[in-house]
Amino acid sequence: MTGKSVLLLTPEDMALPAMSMFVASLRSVLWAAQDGPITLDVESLDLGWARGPAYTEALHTWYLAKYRERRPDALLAFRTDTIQLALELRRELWPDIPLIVLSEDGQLWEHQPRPERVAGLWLRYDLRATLELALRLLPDTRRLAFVNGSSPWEQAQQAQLVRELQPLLAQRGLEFIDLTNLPLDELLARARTLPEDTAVLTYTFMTDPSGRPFVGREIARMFLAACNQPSFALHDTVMGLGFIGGSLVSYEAVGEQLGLLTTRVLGGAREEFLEPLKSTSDELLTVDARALRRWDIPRERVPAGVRFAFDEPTLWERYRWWLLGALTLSALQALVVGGLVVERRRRMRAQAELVERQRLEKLAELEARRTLDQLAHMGRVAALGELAASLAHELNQPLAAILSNAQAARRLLNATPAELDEVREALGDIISDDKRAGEVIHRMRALLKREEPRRELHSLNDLVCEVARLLANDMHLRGATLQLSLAPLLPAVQGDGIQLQQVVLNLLINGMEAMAQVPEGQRQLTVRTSSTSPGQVELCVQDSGGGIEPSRLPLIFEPFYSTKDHGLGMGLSISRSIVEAHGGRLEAKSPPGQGALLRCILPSVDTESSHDTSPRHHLPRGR
Amino acid sequence: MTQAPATIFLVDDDLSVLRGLGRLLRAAGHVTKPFASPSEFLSQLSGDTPGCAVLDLRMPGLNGLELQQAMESKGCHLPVIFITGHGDVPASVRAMKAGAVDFLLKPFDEQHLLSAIEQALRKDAAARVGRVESAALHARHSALTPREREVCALVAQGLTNKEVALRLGTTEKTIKVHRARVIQKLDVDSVAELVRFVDRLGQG
Repeated sequence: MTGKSVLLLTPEDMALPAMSMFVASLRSVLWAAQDGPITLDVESLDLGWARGPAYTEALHTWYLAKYRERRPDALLAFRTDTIQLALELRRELWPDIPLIVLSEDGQLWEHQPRPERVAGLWLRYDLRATLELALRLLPDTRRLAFVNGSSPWEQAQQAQLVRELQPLLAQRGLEFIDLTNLPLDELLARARTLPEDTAVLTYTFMTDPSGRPFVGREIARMFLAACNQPSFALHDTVMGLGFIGGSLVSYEAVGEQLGLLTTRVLGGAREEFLEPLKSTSDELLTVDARALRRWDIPRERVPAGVRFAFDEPTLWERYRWWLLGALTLSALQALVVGGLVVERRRRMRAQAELVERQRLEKLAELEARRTLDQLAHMGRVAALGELAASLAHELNQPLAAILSNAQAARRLLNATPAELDEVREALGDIISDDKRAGEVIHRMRALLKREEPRRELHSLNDLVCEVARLLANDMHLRGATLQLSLAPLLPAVQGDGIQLQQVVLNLLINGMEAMAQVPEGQRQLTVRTSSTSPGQVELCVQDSGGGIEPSRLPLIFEPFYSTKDHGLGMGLSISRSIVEAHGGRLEAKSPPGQGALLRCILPSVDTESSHDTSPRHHLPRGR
Repeated sequence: MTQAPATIFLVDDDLSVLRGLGRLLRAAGHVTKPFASPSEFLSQLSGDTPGCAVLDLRMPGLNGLELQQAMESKGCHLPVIFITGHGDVPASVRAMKAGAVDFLLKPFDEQHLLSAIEQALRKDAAARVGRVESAALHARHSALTPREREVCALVAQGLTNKEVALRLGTTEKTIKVHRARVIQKLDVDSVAELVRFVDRLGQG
C-alpha cells in the first residue's frame, strides 16, 4: 500500500449533518486528487458539549497511545479547541508533518506565535451580511435579538460575533436583545414574547448554562416553533426548518476547499505554510421562499443575486384561475395555518359552514392532508435521526466485513499458488454483506421517501416486522428486548404503508425510551396484534417502564407535549393524526404497575387475499 | 518459553465480520481462533497460549469491556484490541485505561489492524519473557530456608553483617555463613546483584 494517509480531528459528533457533509466532501476531493486510495482517519472528539479538562487530558493520553505507531502524512484539525490538541499531539508524535487547520476564530494566532508548517482556512460566519439582508427584507426592524449557546466554544466566539454586529447596530440605531447563554426554557419563553419589529439572528445552541447538550437541527426546530418573530441563520444545514435565510456557510464547500488545500500540501507545496489564514468566499446569501411567504415578505424586497431555496409555487399561484373571485386572500391564509391546528379547527367549524362552501371544504381538506403529510414526513426524518447512531452501527458491520474480505482476497491472489477457493468464498461473503447493507439502506430510504400517500392493502403484521427489523440494533444497544405476539390470521388494513409504519415506529421508540430508567434486563417491550371485533384490527404496544401519571394521560397526544428532555412532543400527535386520517383511533392507558399501554385500532378490510397472508414473520436478528 | 505459535483470538457476534476478519488475518499469515460469543471464548480460555485477542465492543451478554475484565480475573493476560461499529470516545478511553492496545472503528483498514496486532504480539511476547524470568526468580528464592530469606531481605536493605546479626540476635559469623549460602543459592555474584534480584522479585 503506497497510498497516503490523513488524520482529521473534528470537535463534534459525526452524526451532525454539518460534520458528515463536511467530511464527505473533503474525502471525495482527496480521493479525486490523489487518484487512488488515501486513508482518511476521522476522530470526532465530542468537544462541543461542555467538557472538563480531565476529559481533554484523557483524550490526549489516548490519542498519544493510539497513534504512536501510525504516522499520518498530514494532520487536519477543525475549530480552536481541537487545534490546540492537534498541536500538542503533533509536537509529541510527529513534529515534522504539516498541520492544516480550519478555524472559526480569526484571531487564533494572536496570543501565541504561529507554529511552523501550518496552513489553514478561516471559516467565517458573515453576521453583518445576514443582518443587512434582514434589514432589507424587514425595513421596519428596530431591534435585533441574538441567540447563542453556553458551551465553552460558543462563549469563546461571543465577543467576536458581537464585535462584528456592533457597527451596523450603532449605525442603524438598533436595540440589541441578548438571548445568549440562557437556559433552554427561558430562551423559548423569551422567544415567544419578543417585541414587534424584532429580527432574530441565531448562531448555535449546543448547551445551556446547566450543561445539557442539544443537537443543532432539533433545537432550531424547537426554537422556531416558539419564536414569534422572523429568524435568520448562518448554517446551511438548518435551512428548510423555517429560517428566512442568511449568509450561509456551506459545509460542502468548506470540505472541498480544505480538501484542495490538503492536496496541495501533500503534493509538497511548502510555501502554503507561510500564507496567513484565508477567509473562505463561500458565504451564500440565501432565502427560504416558503419562509418569506410565511412571514408575508414581498419577494420584490429580496436583493438581486440572492439565491432562493424551497421555491415552489404557492397554493395561490397554482389555483389562482380556480379560486379567483371565490376566495379572498384571508380565506386562503386560514387554509394554510399549520396542519394539526387547522385540522381540528376545520372539524369544529365544519358544521357551521354554508352549503355553497362545500367545494371549498374539499380543498381545505386536501390542503390539511397535504400539511399532515409534510408533518408526517418531518416526523419520520426526526425519528430516523434518533436512530442515526444505531443505523451507522448497523451499516458499519457489513462494511467492515466487506473491507476485510476484499483485502483478504487481494492477499490470497498474491499468494503463490493463489488460493482461489478461499478467494471465491471471500467474494461470496462480500456479495451477501453488500446485500445486507443494501437492505438497511433500502428500509431507511423507504421511510424517508416523500411520496403522495397511497391507499393500498397492508398486513399490519408485516408492517410491524419491518419496523422491528429496523429497530433491532437500537433495541440491542439500549438493552431492551422486543416480544412480538402477532395474530396469525389478521384481516388487512387499507392506507399508506409508510405512514402506518411511522405510527408503529413512533410507538416502539416511545416505548423504548419510556424504559430508560428501568434496570437493564427488565426492559421488555411487547407488541401484540389482534382482531377482537369484526371490522377492526388492533395493535398494542406495552412497555415495562414507569407508566404515565393518570393526570398526564390526556396530554400526551398534544403537540409539543413531551416527557423527555430532548423530546419534540410531535411523535404521538402526528401518530394520532395519521391513525385518525385512516379512520381509526389511538389511545393510551397506564395500568398501575405495568408500564404504559398504547392501543391503535384501525378499520380492517375483509378481502379474500388478506386471509392467505400466511404468518411468515421472522423475528429480527440479534443485532 | 512456550513453542506454540502465536494465536489471534477473535470474538465477534456478527458472523460475517468474524469470517472476514479471520480470512484476512490468515491471509496475512496469522493463526486465528474465532468465537461467536464471549462465553464460548471464556470457556475455552487457557492461560498459556501466546497471542492476542481482538474483541468486538458491543455483544449481547458481555460487552467487550466486561469480557476484558473477565479475562483478567481468569488470569489471562492476552493483550486486547477492540473493534466497534460506532465511534464512542468514552468507551475507548475506558478501554485504553484498562490496558487495551488499540481501538479500531469498523470498517477498519488492514494496515491499521495488522500494525495493531504486531504491536500486541510484541507486547505479549515481552510480557511472557518477563513472566518466565519472574517464575525462575521465585523458584530460586523458594530454595532458601526461612532464616536465609530473612538474611537475604536485610542484606538487600543495605545492612552490614554486624547489623543483621544484631537484628536477628545471632553472631556476625553465623550471618556470614548464611549470606554465602544465599549468594550461592540465588546464583548471584555480588551484593549489588543480590539487591537487583530482590528488586525484580518484588516486581514479578
